Amino acid sequence: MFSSMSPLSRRQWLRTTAAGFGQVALAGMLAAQERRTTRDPQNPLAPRESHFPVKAKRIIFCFMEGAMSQLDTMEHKPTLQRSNLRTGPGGGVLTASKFRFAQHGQTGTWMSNLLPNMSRHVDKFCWLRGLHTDTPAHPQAVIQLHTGVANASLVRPSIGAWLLYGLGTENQDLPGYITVNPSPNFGGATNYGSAFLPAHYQGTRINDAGQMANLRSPISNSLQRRQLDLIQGMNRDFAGQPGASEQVDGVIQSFELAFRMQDRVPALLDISREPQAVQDMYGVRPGPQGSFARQCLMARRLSEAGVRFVEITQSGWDHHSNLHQGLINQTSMVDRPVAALLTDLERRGLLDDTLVLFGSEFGRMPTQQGPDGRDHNITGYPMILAGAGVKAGYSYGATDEVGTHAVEGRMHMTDLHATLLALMGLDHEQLTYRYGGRDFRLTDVAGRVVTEIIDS
Amino acid sequence: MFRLFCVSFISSSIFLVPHASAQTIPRDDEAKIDFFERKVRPIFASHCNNCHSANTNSKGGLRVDDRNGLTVGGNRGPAIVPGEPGKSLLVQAIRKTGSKLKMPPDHDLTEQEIADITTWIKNGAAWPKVRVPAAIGRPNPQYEKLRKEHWAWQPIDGTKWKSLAATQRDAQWARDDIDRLVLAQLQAKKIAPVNDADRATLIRRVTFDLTGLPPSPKKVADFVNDETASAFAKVVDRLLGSVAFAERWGRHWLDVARYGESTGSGRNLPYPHAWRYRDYVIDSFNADKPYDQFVREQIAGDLLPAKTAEQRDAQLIATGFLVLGVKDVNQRFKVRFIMDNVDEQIDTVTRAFLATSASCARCHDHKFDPIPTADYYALAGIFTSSDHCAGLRNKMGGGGLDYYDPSLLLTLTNVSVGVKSADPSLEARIAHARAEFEKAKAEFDKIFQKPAGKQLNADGKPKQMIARLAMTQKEKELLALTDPGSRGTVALGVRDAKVVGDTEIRIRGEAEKLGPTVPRGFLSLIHVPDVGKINPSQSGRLDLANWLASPKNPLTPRVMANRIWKHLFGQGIVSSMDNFGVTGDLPTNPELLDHLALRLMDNGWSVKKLIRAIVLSRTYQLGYDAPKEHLAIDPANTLHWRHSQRRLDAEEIRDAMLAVAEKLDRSRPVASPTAELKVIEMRNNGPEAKRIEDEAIKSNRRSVYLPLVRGLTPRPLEVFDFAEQGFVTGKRDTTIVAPQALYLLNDSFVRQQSQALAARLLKTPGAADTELIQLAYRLTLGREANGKEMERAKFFLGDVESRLRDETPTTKLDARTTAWGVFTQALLASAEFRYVR
Repeated sequence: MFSSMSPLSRRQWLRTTAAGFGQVALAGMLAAQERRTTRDPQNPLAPRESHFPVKAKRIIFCFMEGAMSQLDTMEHKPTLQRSNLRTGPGGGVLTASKFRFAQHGQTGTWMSNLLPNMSRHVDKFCWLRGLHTDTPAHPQAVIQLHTGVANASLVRPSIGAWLLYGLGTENQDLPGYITVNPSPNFGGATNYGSAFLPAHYQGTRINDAGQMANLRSPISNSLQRRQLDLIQGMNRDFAGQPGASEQVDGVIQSFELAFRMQDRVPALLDISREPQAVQDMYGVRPGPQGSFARQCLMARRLSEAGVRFVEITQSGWDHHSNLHQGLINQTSMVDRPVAALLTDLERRGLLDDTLVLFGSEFGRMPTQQGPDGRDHNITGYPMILAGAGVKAGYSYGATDEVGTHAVEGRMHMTDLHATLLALMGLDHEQLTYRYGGRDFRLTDVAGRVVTEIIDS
Repeated sequence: MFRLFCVSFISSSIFLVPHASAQTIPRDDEAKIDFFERKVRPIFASHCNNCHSANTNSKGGLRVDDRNGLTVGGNRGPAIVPGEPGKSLLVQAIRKTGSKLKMPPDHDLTEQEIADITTWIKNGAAWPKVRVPAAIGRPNPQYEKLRKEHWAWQPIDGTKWKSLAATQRDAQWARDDIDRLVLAQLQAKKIAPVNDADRATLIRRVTFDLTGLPPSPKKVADFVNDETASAFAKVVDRLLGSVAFAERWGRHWLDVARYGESTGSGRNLPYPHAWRYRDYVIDSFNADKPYDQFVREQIAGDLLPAKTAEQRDAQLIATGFLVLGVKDVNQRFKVRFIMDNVDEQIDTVTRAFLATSASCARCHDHKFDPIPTADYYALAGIFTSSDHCAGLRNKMGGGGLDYYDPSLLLTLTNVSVGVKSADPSLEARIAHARAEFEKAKAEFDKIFQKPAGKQLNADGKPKQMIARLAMTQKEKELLALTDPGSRGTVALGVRDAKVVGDTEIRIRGEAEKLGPTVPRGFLSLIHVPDVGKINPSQSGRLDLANWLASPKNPLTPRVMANRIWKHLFGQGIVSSMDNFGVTGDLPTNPELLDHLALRLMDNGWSVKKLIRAIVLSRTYQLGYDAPKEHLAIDPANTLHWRHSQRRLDAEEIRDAMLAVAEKLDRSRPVASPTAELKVIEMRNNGPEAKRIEDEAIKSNRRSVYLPLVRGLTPRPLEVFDFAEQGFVTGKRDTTIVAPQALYLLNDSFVRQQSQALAARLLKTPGAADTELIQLAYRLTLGREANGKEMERAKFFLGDVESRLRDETPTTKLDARTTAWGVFTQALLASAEFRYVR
């Protein structure tokens, strides 16, 4: 659809010039409301017209890498609880959860006592309880969750890259797609890459201390400003020569933006600027125990600043063994921060246009593995949505009575992608990119928008 | 068994002829399938599927939800032998007669269930047949039409370009037929080419284009002052003869070859020997290896004759092209691993040489181009008949060296570079390790399955398990010593498999769903006369290589000529570099493309000769001026009325910084930092990744030699649109983003080169600042500073230096050196430094 960039006339170029993350001189003119249908090749990240009415402007994805055991946290299965140590359907020995479940909120949603703080928010949740995916192994499933392909030997753009490609970004002074603390394996950079989409759509990686590459000036600020003025003087001379490449104007813009980012981005990522009470609410503390709390707070600050897609990651859920203590440790690191994130977003009115997605690449089995573990389950598992565009206190889909297979409201990974795009205002069948002679989609040839969950 | 059709091979295209008697399923079979569905499948579903199906992790590699899964079996071999329950492991397992294999592990099947499974196997293990879509094998009239009409698939025309060039016979401007063909189009649009480029511009352009490096000020001056008629030709010949040329143009090919030094994908495993392919490519361009031979070697180097052992080794290394792609080694099912790798090979081969995307036909007939599924599997049979030797096997959830398989490596006999010297004590160490292993094995065998072995150790584990671990450890130590991979005398590549033959169409691309078998063959979208059929006793790669490299193949020379043109003009004559199909772009100048393709072949497929002809044309030497009237008619300059500016590639930017700082190490490294890696999964935050990143940061060598582990692209390459290593890249993006500016302002690499450049300038004895500023301009921008620039630079240096004297020093450098470093960094960061025109 938009694979080749047609050259612009110089005048047209000067009117709309901008680069990289953003438009500089004309940022005011291009307010968030103004969207265009044609793609300006020199400003590929300018906000773009959506296909559908926009339900959510941005997404925060809390990724529980490793497959959190849903049956011990958020999927209450009375039959399973009664069938401890019996043979399950399809083989294996059923093992009841050792954690206590109780009902919460007006919806009476069952949650286990591992997630006491998140339980206070159940009436905001829109549950997807009938998810299924294709490969019961982390590497492939993580890649499929992020890029849509079941065949992990294919390199495809990640969902955040598709969103930027489709929508542009709201805040032209910031990266539109940020991934904090992403998995160092299971696809690594593929999970936030742009593959055949141009590189400006790829995710920007920052670590859980809020550090981004090349943001710190090695010389004093005033000296660097002088240096920048010299560079820009040379660039303007170069751009002014007859026959100069139009791209040079973009280079000029990119330097101004970079200089401002140096100032703004570290401040934005510096969570110590938050009031102590807010830091405490999230449970911010140093070290790995506080990693996810810091990420949640960074995610709020980034979303508030208009970053289109923010992903934060807590790994360590792969409980083939040590399920009991492992879950206690893991949930203690995510329960409070996620609840705080929801509270904070709500207080600031951000939950009206920000969508939060919480979940793993797949779920775990109701049967036991070893003395204290559960194996992978790709045939039925839940994820949680909350906030913009989705029905609050709503549950879609279900697994069978012990929680092995999705039997109602089945949603394949591809359907999740189609639905997320729809919530952001994009038609997954129209959002295509021509590469090597074919129009590619995030959802390839499948995908159903699950309209049932969309708040109209 | 699933072959519903027999197949006949007619001329160059393939037809699948339905076999009359196979179309209806005999009633007897219907009853057997009914028995399976009613009695057997429910047993699998309720007792086995949770551990042994595609939806679960298929313990022991076995799946019972697919007939192939049972007949091929898991790690223990076939689970069923249709017709022979006595030989079927599955029956032993459910009867629990064996000493170890007892399934299900936690309960027993009923006698009736066991009897049903036994009966089912005895009666041939019937399974519902895969439905073959009716469209498979059906001739497509649209395809026939396209084959006859689409421009790219027609023979190269030797006459049209001549008559077009003849229209410009008297044009004074033209020096070459290339110019005449360009001029003919310009005349039709009534625009004249702009003036020629000035000499300083021209030498900077050609030096970057041919070598990826800037010209030294002396070379610029020599050329500017050389008044002989052959001045430019001399420059060109010097550049074409330099190793730097091969490093630059070899890198272009590595983009096409999606070169990477690891598998990427879900588990990133290193390819420690991939660098040999990198060196092979550079050596090939350096020697100006005829392109047809280069193609043949990469497809079938192992099957080509070789005069010397060195040549044989090089040809084996060449086949690395076929296996260096992204691979999902964590794939559970071997058949999927094989077919996914074959798909990657077909995609790479067809895009790289033919600018055709055949991989669409894996699942269905190609929607746009005339590539039926049968053609895809005709090619697939060639690759399934070849061993994929990347030193890796598939396994789910493996750890350590589980994925490493040294038997899947090619042994080299005569290499010396990158080979660890033989340890004189090696023989003795091997003997010792072998003895240790034998001892551990004997101990294990002694207690295995005996009461002594089942006794528990202090840690609660059975003694035989401890003994097994000890034995495995000793085996690993022995393997490490005897593995040729650890000495480095191996290469990645392919070889013919022990069993070669045709393969089946896979329904909807699903590896397990077998349709009719198709004879091995080539794509029917082009007709290549004089190419024989597949040699039935080989894989067919040699025949494929000859088909690809035939002078009668209209795509191969056109695609390569287009790639060469693109690297000299910034855009291809066909701008969709890797897609000459129906959805690709049309050639802007088809006569010129055919002329170049013919010229490539007429010159013995010499890449250097074609490059030389093009850069000596007047078209290449045009200036960069852009009059308004021209822009109005052809804003993108597709007609070549001027020379378009281009941004340097990532490698050129890095290499140029090192070069002007006099830090560039022009030597070729021995091997690559990845050669030291064990074939163990790498994490981006692990110590191995850290070491590779450090080596990349430390290196002052040309960028083509940096380690290129997938997912760990060195920063200087990553920021400037390095090639995606996941697929064939004929054309990189040129993005302009703020991280590039941040990199230029703040990255330590850029700072180091700026300071080195400043030091280089300041050590010039007795030079005035104005001379140093001129030298800095000549080095970085290939020209003199003008008066305004000189004044600005002098003011900047003076201002910064005086301010620095007032500041508390942050570095050990004095204010003058620091000021010059800040100034030279500005030059390196300027747009002009990274654009050539």
